[in-house]
Amino acid sequence: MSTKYGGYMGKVLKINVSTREVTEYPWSDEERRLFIGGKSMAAKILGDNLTSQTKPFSAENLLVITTGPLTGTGAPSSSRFNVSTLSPQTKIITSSNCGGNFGYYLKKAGLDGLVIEGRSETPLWLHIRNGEVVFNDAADMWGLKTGPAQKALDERLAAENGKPVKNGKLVIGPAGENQVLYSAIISNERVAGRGGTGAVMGWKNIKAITASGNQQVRVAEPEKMKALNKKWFKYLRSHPLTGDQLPRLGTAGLVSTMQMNGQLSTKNYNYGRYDDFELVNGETLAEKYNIVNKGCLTCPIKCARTVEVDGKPVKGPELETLGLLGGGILNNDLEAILKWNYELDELGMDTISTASTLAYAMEAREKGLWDNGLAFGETEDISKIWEDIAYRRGIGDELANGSRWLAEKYGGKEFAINAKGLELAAYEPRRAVGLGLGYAVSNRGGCHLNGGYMILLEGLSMNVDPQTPHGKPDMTVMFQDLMEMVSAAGQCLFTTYAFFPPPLISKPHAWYTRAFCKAVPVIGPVLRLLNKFPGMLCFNIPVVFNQSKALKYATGMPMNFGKFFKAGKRSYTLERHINTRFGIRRKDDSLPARLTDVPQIEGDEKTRVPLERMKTVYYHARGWTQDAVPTPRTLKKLGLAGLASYKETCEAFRRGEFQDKPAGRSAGAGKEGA
Amino acid sequence: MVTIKLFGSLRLKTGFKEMQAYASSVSEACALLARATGHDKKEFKNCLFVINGKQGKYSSALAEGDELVLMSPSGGG
Amino acid sequence: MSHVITDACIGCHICAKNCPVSAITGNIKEKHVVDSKLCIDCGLCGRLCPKSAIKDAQGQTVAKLVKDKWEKPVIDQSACVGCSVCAENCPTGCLEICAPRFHGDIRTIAELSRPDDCIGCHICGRVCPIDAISYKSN
Repeated sequence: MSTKYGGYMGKVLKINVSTREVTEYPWSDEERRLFIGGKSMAAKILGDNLTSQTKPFSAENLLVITTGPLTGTGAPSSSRFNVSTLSPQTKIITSSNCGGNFGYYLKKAGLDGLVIEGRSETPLWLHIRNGEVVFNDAADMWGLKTGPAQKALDERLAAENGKPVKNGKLVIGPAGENQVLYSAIISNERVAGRGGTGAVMGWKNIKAITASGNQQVRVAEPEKMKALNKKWFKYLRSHPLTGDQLPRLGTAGLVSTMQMNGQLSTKNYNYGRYDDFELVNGETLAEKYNIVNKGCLTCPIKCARTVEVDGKPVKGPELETLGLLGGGILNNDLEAILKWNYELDELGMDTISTASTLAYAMEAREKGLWDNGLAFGETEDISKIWEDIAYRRGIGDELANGSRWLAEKYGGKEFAINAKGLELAAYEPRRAVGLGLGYAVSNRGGCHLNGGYMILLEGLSMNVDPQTPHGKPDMTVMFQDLMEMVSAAGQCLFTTYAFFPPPLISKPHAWYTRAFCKAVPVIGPVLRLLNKFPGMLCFNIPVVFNQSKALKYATGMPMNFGKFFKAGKRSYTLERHINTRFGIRRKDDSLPARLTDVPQIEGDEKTRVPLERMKTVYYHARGWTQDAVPTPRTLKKLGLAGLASYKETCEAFRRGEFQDKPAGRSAGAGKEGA
Repeated sequence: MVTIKLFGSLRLKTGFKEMQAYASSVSEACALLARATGHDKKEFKNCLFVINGKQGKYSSALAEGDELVLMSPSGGG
Repeated sequence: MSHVITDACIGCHICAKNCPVSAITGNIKEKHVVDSKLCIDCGLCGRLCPKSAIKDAQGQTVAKLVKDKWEKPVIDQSACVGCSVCAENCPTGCLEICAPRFHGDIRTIAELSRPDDCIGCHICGRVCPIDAISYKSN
């Protein structure tokens, strides 16, 4: 199905790995216009195919790999791809976005996306050669770790062709093969980590997917696109965050900032500060261990680190890994973290969920709930634990199911730090309550990025009062929507940091910065208005927000900031609409009691997340019922009335299945009232 | 005597990590740092100041034994 | 898009031997063919062909050119941001992102690390998102 729009290759393939049947997945221009690409496109595909009865580990579950229209157009930081599926970890739809180079090569192979269904009987390696799917046997690769597996793929492709073949790769490690619920998909050194996409791929018996080809992305307005790119690259390089902080320190640079703000999760989120943080922060990483900055293909920011482990240059840890495997388990040995980070990538596991599950297990032992031999600060045998998890041996077999599962078995739900089954990142939300709301309501579970990343304003780069709930829900909605669409268009979320003009970041004491920070909590009503009527923003924002203009030049669609924003809303609400099918309601948009009931600073009632109160405002701003169900009116307003499930929702509402006011709402709000 | 520490990208740019010095206010500490590193005082003035774990201002006073942390603007993860 | 071999081909096999993506096949002394699914339009076959028997994607005959005359990329050091698109697309891997010049170098950019391997294909310049690559012959 070819397309009139630029930026797309115009073809999505559906691959049934049971029957080895390959067909074109129908994806129309109307759908391209509404859902753009990436996670949004994947959500539409999943929504159309999954029923409430679909199980994550079943032939009916789909593994959807999609790219965005900006991928391959030369836009900065645009080599990304998205993997979506029904998550075995959270039991709702999940999406994981990854750098790597697979997205770029998938488009070179002439495809916008892959929809994989069924289950192969034998291990499989799919090679996408210029739009054709070649099914290869992968029995000899099964069991390989992700590094050797990728090497083997290159060798096999080179052997077939006579010369090395440039290609993009996706592989799983032993963790994915053994269906560790938080196993990842690896592309080069980058990881699509969250939500257990690797486990689904492993269950389907797919060890690897590679793509190669010689096709080029057609851009609708190439001259304008190039002119914009030139300015954009330059701006990103000159911005204090994307041109200085991230290249110099990587994401790891935040450890010190979070420590100062009391936002560094320590000892399984008991505290917000870690005394030994100086041994495991980004500055130490940069000064002592970083060999060279690396970046994804097409990216000028280069936030990735390269460090040496056992004499080999390997990928360095990101902030979340440093935070959770450092202070999170009271470990001050940075070299150990470098090694673990490498080992977890090799095994193909999400470092966030692994670390957080481990921290839960340590606390469960400390509290006498589960005698597992683990203890905070005792880190000699941790490498063995990773292997045990990946191969599901001993206690590893239980740890492989994540903290929610463990808490259901052993108790201690209040300190199993997850939301909807997905473990939280390293940011302590009690000292950044806006992010706390984001974690709770995020469509894929406890994710800082899908949650709107309010912490950026609440101390990381700006100084908005981190404890006030005012203005945060509306701001969260706005950020979530914009980030959703930046991601769906195929770009890295780090390009959005440039949304804040450089002086706001580099001059924190200037009057305008202080005025901005003071204004955020009180401009909620204004944001609400924009959230309700995104169409009002019928212009492009120059210099700082190029995404909407780039999308217009690349695709030729009518596009401006408002339309871009609205597309993000559509996508976010669509994901929630699908999750409603799997029973997600207000009660599921929750955080562990430690974060909502226990103040981080004893006696300071403000240092906890006033969640229920913010949720009420949030749902209102979203146009969802107070039970977190998107109303037919909202769906229709966002252009989702064409969905097959729209009618069912209308009928369910007519039958009164979804109450607007959940029982006990006022009681909950009263208890928390800050 | 106060302890002055520097974090963030400015630390990598200047190579300065920490020192013990006599300074009675944040502004004085910034001046000391500028002299010690040869960088413009403005760069330090634009940092965030944390005194003993609490946010301070450029005009804040320092007492004997205080720990002053300067943070240059941060990014994201 | 792909290069094509015309009937002037004498089957000398030089193109097939040198094609960086192994897109050309054929027996010696028989007409060779380019696999359009593999061809990356680097034009090396045309520059090497003794009979000028190769046409590019636009239908123009590719001129034979001795190796010394091949145009090599010159990277604008102040414009390059090190996004590595050129290096990733270089068919021979002669472009690379340079090693850090000092510890903590955040301005690593592309460089022609193995100029002898360059086949003068101009692909790097075509894909560079910010036109930081120009060409000159020796």
